[in-house]
Amino acid sequence: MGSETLAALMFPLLFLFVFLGVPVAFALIATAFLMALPAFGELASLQIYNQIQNTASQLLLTAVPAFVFMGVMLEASGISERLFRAMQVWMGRLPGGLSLATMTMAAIIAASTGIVGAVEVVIGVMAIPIMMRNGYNKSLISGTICAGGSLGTMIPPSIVVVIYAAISQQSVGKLFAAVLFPALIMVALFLGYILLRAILKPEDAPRAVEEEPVPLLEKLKITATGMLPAAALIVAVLGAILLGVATPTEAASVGALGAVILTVLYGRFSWAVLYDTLERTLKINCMILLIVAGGNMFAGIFRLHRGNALVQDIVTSLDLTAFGIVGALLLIVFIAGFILDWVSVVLITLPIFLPILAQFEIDEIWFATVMIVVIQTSYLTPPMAPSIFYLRSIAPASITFGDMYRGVMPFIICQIIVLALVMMFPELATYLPSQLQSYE
Amino acid sequence: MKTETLTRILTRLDTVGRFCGYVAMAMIVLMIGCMIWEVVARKAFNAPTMWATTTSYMFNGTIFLIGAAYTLRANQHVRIDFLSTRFPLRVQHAINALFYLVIFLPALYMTGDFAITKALKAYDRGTLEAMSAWEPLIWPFLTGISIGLVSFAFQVAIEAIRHLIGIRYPNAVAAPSDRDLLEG
Repeated sequence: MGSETLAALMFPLLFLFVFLGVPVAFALIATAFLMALPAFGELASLQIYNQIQNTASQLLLTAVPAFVFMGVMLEASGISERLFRAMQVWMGRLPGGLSLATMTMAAIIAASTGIVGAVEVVIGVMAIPIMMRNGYNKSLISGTICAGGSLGTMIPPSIVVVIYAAISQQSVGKLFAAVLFPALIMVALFLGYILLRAILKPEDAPRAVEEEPVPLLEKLKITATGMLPAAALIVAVLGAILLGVATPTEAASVGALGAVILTVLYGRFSWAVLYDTLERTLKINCMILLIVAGGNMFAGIFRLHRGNALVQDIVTSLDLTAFGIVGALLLIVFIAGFILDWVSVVLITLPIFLPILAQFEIDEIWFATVMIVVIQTSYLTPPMAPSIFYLRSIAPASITFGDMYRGVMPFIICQIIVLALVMMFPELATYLPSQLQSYE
Repeated sequence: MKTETLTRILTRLDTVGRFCGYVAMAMIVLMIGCMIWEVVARKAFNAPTMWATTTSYMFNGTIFLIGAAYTLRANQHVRIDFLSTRFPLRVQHAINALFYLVIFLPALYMTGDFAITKALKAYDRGTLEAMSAWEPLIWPFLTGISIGLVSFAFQVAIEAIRHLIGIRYPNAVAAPSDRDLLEG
């Protein structure tokens, strides 16, 4: 069999394994191995091993366990309950106040942890019962939780961005900076939509009956203890990375220590909590990094079989403009996101995309930003939306799939607006990174 | 041999992967500690270390491999199972058993074999790490990778036997799709 034939067979084989339900990381490793055997024989294990050692030696990836630890520990500190309370006392009496408080809390939690599904579960478990009790419309509840949960993809420090930077060999700091404005615009659009809907259709978001007016001093106290410490931690960690004072791993490690201290101060620390945090960190870290290793093997063997040249030939023969290429690549990401988890999407598509981006001289930082927006949109878009699967696992039975599908639609439109804005005004993504000198 | 006896033995054998998991958790603490040390040394004492960054990547590279077995036992390696869960449970077990035994284990075996050879060679020759100015001996890192691959392969073998049991007694072992959705 010719080399290109083997390359062309890699994708069908990979998807066969994936759909048979074996772990994605294993499917990647197995496909790479099987397709290396006919060409390299005994030396196939050398090819596979080299990718393992490369992945294991990659400096940037050390940021993953540190960020995951920080996020999981902050969750254990009980910060989310306090944040929700703080948001409620300020926003509870606005139209759609509970929904606004939930979305703001989601944005702040997303900024403290980069784990996508975790954000949604944490905010959902807390906010759904309260919104249900207050007679909120079920589709508004669903949309708020799903869209809020999806913010973990965008708002730095996001693990998606760290992995993207590691694969494309870009600076994490610059990518964090690139997604920052689009993420803020997205949060603003989400909040704006909720407010507008609550004003136009007050019956969807009744004024909270439970909410007594809280005296200002009390408000300030709740905010000072519930929001400021977490906000300070996030600003310090992100600031250190963006200003180039510390590497992402160093900043995340100091952030991890900060999260432990906060947990102690909130009286939630115990050895059992520390063990639990380490255990979850280990599992999430291994799950992500084994996919990264498998993805590197897959991409490595694909390249050795001249798969990238094959793809480039196809792309060139399509005779598309740079704009058309970007559209096609994003469509692939969008569809892949229905089926695969985000780590696999980035790992499988990006190594193939990078040479194409270079060929068409497409700005890599800008493309990273739009691709991350698309990954997030894919996370939210029915019928195969991870966000909805997560919501189903925590929502009461009275919230139907129909409620959920209707609920996420307006938020998807907000995301499409962000995507269009970044497309039309690339500076939204490229301005901030160009002003930074990252430490890497 | 009765199925219960067999599953009890398998549970005993899980200890290897669990022990590696504990070591990996300790390494997470050490890795974060190294980085904090580096920040303090650089910012407070203006004396950056030579070793902290290199050590941290070596820890991280070891962590994800020696933790892979533990993660597999917890069934936390993400699967796309919206299609496969529609197959009868026996078929799901058969697919996993076959995949592990015929494809995945041989791949891990060959790669692990290569890793051990490379680690031994590095030990004999006293090979130095080439990526940093510190240039430590590289065999401890390569040994970590080897132990990771071997313990992972061992756990894959254990899970393969579990799935084989599952073909005969589908409910005696956990289903492939049986995992905690709320993790990660």
